[in-house]
Amino acid sequence: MDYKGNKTAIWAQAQRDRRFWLMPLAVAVAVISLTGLVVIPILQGIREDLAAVEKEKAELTKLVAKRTVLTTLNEAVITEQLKTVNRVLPSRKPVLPLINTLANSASGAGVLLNSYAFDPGVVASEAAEVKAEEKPGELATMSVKSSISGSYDAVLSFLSALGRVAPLMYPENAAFGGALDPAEPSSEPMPIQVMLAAYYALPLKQLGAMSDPLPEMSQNQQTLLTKINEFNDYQNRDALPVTQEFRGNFFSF
Amino acid sequence: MAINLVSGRKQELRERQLVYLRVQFISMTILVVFLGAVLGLYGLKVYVAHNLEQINQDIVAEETAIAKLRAVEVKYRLLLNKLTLIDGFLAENDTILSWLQEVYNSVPAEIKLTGVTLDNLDRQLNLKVEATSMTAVIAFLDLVETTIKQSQLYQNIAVDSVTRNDDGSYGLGVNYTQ
Repeated sequence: MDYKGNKTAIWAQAQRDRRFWLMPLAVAVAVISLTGLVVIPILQGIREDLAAVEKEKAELTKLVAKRTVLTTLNEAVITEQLKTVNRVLPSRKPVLPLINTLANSASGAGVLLNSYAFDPGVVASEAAEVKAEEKPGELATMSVKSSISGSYDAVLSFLSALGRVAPLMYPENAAFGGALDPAEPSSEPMPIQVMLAAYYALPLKQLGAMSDPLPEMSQNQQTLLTKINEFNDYQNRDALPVTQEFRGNFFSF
Repeated sequence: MAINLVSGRKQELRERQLVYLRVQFISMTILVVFLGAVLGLYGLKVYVAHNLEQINQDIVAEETAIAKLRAVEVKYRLLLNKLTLIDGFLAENDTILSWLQEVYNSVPAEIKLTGVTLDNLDRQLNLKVEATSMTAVIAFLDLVETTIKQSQLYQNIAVDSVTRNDDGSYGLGVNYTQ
């Protein structure tokens, strides 16, 4: 039998020998084992890490953006702006400022402020019930029932002015009666019952996650800030005689 | 004539040996390439993990910087929150009283406005007018309707009472609701 040049026959012969398969089999076993034990876990690890990198990069971008906004803020200016806003929309029931503002606004509009009574709002024996009613960061109202008298013009001017005072107030309802003829205004001031709502907002309790974006102040909000800065503020004027030093919040209802 | 059978056998064995060597070489090459790929993958994993670690460190650094500015953030968020509330309030309520003033100023001489009831909570307005003629009342109501529609303060208008008084004057109650 001539094997010379007959490579196919040589290969066929070689394949019948155990030595031919030994190395390929060992390599195949090693490759399969390593694939299962090492390669697949590595690939899974890489995939998970890449996903985490994407997620963390997004988080980092948010944080950088937020820090950039924060570093541009001037704390002194913000504090001053917050003081202005707090005068207009206080963080708790604005009883004393409200009395000052009511008295001074009425006097400014030529309206007689006969009486006023505060609605205590939610009163509960359980503090938890009161707490449940509180909604931080939302507009809350305190009702003030007041009796005023004056001409229609003066009363309307008084009520209109309340939308531009600190603290913010607005008539919930009002009933005008009697002679309302602008051509023949009545000489007698007409008595009017007005239910006023004074506004406040409990401060936000949660700031959210560290990476929550910090919006920049819009042009509209900056304009509003200028506008409310011009609101009439009577809080430094006295409406009631000071008889003793104020030692706490008497109106914590 | 002598036939050398051993020579052919030796040749065959040599060639078979070559085949074994070739197979071993190919197998080893595959193994080495595979191991190289595994090492490469491992290197990639280490690199990605290092990257992740670096990003995490950057995040911690940013969070620390933000935490230092927490007081400013609290004030700023409070400021924005209150500005949003005030803006919403003014947008909703700023117009009604100025509109009422406008109505009062546009009351014609032959009309008497005898009552105004404003209920901002339920968004209702009730006007009571008296006039010497019904034509004047209707003309006034048309004027009110035009301005009320322009201001978009109220959508529904309903006449809730029509009276003729002993002195011949007319009374009309009109209810405006959103």
